[in-house]
Amino acid sequence: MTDAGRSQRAAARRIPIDETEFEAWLAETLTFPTDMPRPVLDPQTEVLRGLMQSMRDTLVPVEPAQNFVRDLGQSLTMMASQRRMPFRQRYGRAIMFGIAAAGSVVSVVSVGAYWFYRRESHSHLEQN
Amino acid sequence: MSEPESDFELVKRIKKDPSAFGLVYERYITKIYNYVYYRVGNHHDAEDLTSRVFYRALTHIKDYSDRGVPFSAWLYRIAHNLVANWHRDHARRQDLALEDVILVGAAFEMPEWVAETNEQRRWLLGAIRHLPEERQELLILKFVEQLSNAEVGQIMGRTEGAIKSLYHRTLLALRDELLKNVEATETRSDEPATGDELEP
Repeated sequence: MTDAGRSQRAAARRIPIDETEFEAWLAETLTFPTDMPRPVLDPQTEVLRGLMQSMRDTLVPVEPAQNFVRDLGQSLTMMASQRRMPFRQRYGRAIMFGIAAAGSVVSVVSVGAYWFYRRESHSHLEQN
Repeated sequence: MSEPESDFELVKRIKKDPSAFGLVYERYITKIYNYVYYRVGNHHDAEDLTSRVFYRALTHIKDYSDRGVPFSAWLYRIAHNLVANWHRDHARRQDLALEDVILVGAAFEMPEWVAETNEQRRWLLGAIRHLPEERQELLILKFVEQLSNAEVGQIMGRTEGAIKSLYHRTLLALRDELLKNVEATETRSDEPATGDELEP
């Protein structure tokens, strides 16, 4: 390998490869105070730093048009109010459970009443 | 002061009372719009797709259940799917407007600087738009939406480590593109002028 090739590979290795380290490094270089001399970076890393800065400057949030936001909001509100669940769908399950629970209570009471009636009948027969 | 209602609580409320959907809308309209805008490159389609995202969300919110995927990720997935369909339908159309991100304000004061910066931005946006879909999505979520790697991972259905790795590879790919572009520009400027230009 030539000297130029070796130095190129060495320069490439200087870019932090570990992602965590890379993120920390980028954050550090991008918020570097302007009144202090910037650390000397190898050309490849310098390009990367510049690229990150360009992306921060270019990929900026945009505001949607106010008319659009208002109209869509109104349209969704109208649609949402029409989607209010009907009474049966909203409380159907609760009503079903209520009826089932009441039915169970009635069954238990009926069995108890029958048992009590039988016992009373038997005691009357024995007395006679 | 009371804490703002979490997405989870809000969704529970919407399931009982859909009219509360307006709160979700207010919370996410700008974010979803930005995401869509940077994926399609023009306001007209961004508005159309953003509308569809919210209509679809309202229609299907009853099916949403938090199985480790936050509501925001669910919303971004809807946007992602609609944008993917849009790209499939518009495969032959190249829209690179993105007019809002181009500088115009300082044009009177420093026209040359503005022109150069706009050129760089146009190039960068073009390069980003030529990246594979998932890499574009990653850059938009990180830079425009300013989400953490963990949040981006939840939206894209990947681990935080995988996102960091993809981010790293994307930056290196863009840097290589940038270097190629610089070389090509230098080569063009080094070429001798044609005879036509020399004629009086």
